[in-house]
Amino acid sequence: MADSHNPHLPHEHDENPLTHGELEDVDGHPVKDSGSLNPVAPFAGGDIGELGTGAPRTLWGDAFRRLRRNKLAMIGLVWLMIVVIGTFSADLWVPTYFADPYTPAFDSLEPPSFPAHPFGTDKLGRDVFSRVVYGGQISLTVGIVAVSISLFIGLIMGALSGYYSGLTDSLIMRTADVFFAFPYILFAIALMAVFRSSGSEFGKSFWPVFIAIGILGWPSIARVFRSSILTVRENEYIDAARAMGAGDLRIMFRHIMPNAIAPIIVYGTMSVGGAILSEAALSFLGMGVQPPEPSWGLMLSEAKSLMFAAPWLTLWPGVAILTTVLSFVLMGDGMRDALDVKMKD
Amino acid sequence: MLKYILKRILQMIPVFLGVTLLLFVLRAPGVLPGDPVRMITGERAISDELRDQIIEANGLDKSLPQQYVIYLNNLAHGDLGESYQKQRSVVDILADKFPNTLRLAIAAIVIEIFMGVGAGLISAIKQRSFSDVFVTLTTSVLVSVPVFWLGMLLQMFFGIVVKDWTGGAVSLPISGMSSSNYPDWMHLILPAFTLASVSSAYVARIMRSQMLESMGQDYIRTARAKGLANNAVVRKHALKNALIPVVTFIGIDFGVMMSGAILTETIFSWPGVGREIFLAIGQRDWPVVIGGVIMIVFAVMFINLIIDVSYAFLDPRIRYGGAAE
Repeated sequence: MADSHNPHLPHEHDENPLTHGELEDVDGHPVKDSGSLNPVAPFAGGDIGELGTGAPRTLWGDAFRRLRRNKLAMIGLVWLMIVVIGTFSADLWVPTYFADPYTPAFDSLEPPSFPAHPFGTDKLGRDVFSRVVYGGQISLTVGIVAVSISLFIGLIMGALSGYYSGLTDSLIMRTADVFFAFPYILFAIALMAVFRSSGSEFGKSFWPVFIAIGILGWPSIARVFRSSILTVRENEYIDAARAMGAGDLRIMFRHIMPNAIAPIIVYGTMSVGGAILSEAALSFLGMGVQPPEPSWGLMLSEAKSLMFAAPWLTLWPGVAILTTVLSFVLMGDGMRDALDVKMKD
Repeated sequence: MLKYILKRILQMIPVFLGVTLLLFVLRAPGVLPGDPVRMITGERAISDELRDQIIEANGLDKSLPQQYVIYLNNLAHGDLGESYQKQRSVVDILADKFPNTLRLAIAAIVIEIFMGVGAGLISAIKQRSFSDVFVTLTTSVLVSVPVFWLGMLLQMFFGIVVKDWTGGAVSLPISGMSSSNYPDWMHLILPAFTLASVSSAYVARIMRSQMLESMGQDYIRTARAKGLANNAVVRKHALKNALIPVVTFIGIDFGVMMSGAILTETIFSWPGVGREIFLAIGQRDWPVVIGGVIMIVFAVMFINLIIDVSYAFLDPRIRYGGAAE
C-alpha cells in the first residue's frame, strides 16, 4: 500500500518457496501444493513410523515442529532474540564499552570508527551505536504495547461481532469501516495532535504513541477474528456443545476461541512489525516520540538535513528498523505456513 | 444491478457521516490545540470587538450540534471553509495541489502494475525456481522497509554515489517538481519508485498466491485434460481468475495514493495534497487538515464503490449473494 495507508502487514499469499521441505505426503515425497492445503496435512506429515508411539501429537506441537524447519522464520527469531536481549540489557553493557546515548560530546559528526564509535556520532556528538541500541527498547515496546491494545479492543469487538450477528455486528463493522476510510498516517497524526495538545505529562510520555497506533489497529484484528469465528461457528461441535447446555460464554471461550485464534497469532505477529513502522513514520514526521529519546524514526528525521554530510546517520537507524520489522514479517510468514492459516481480507 | 449500486451508496452514508462527525469532534474548541481566533489573527493584539466579529463570522458562537449541521450543509455545497493561515478557501488550496498528487499517483500505479504483476506471475509460474525465491525475499524486505528511509537511500544513491561514479554525467533530481537542470518528468522518477515500492511488493505477493490458488482448481485440470497448451491455460484460465483480488488491491491503493503520500511527498519535497495537509497540521490550520481528510476519505470511498460495482457487473455471484460485506 502507499505509505499513507494502514501499514499492518499481513496479506494473503502462499507459503514461502524456501520452506517447501515441510510439505510432505505420507511417503515423504514433497507435495506439489497449490495453495489448497489439506487440513489434515499436519497429521500426515513427518515419519509414518512415529505413529502410535510416544506422546500424542497436537496441532500446536506439529505447527511448532514445522516452524522450526522454516529457515527464514528461524533467522527472524534468532535476530529478534539478539535484538530483544541486546537492547533490554543495554544498561549492563553499553555504558561500559560505548558512550551514553543522551550525553552530547564535542566530537560531533565523526564518521564511524572502531571501537569508540562503530556507527559514528551525530551532530551533538552522541554515539549513534548506543542510540540505535537504546532505540530498540522504544521500538519494541511501542510494537508490543500498541499491538496489545489493538488485540484487546479488536478481539472483544471481533468476538461480539462474530458471535452475535445482527445489529451488534453491523454496528461494530460499520465503525470499523469508518476507521478504514481514514488515511492511516493522517489519522495517527491527528490523534497525536489531540493527545499532545494538553501539554500534560501524559502528552509527553510514550502513551500517546502507544494509544494512537493501538487504536488504529483494532479494526483489522476485529475483522480477522470475526471471519475466523464465523467459520468456526458453523461446525457441528458448536451445535453439540449448545445442545449439551453450554452457555454463550463457555461456548465462546472453550469451543470457539481456541479454534479461531490461529489467524490472530499470525496477524498479531506481523502487526508488531507494522506498529514499529508506524512509530518510525510518526516520529520521523515529528509527531511521535519526542527528543531527546533515541527513537529510530526520530534519528532518521534528524539525519535528513545531514544526509549528504553524514550518511551514517541515515544508514544505521534504517537498517535497525528494516531488520527488526523483517524478522517479525518472516516469523509471521513462517507461523502462517506452520499453522496453515489463510489470510484473506 | 441498479438496486445493488443503490444499496452500496446507502451503505456509504453512515460511514461518511461517522467520518465527518469524528473529524468535527476533533476540530471542536478545546479538543485540538490552539485558540481558533488566534489561528486566524496570528500574534497581533486584537480588540474584543474584532474578536467577537471573527467568532461570529466563523460561526464559533453557535452550539456544537449547530456548528456540525452548518458544517455538513457547507460540505454538501462543496465548501470546506477558509484556511486560517492563508487567505484562501480550502477547496482552492487542495485543488492547487491535487494535480501534482495525481501525477505522482499515476506514475506510481503504472510502476506498481508492471513490477508487481510481473514479479508475482514469474514467481507463481516458476514456483520454487531461483526467480521465485528472489521475488519472495525481495518482497519480504520491501514490506519491511520504512518508505521514507528508502526515499532517503535513493536520494543518497542518485544524488552522490551515481553522480560521483559517472563524473556528474548521470544523476537524477532528488527533490522538488521542476528545476532548470532536468526535464520535469525526471523529477517523477525517484518519488514514483519510492511510492510504488511497498505496494509493488504487496501486489507481487497477492498475484503469486492467487495464481497458485487458481492453478490448483479443477477447471485448470480440465483445461489441461482437454489438451490446451500450458501457455493458454495460464493466460486464459488461471490469470483471469487470479486478477480480481489484484485489481481490487491496485484500485484501493490508487485511491490511497490520490490522497497524497505524506511520507514520500515530504522526503522529496513534492508539493502534493499529503504534504500540504502535513504542513497544515504543523501550522494548526485545522480547516485545511479536516477539509483535506474529508476529500481523501471521499476519494477512497468513491473508488471502492467503483471497484465493487464493476465486480458486480463481472461476477453475478456478488450481485445476488450476500457479498455486500
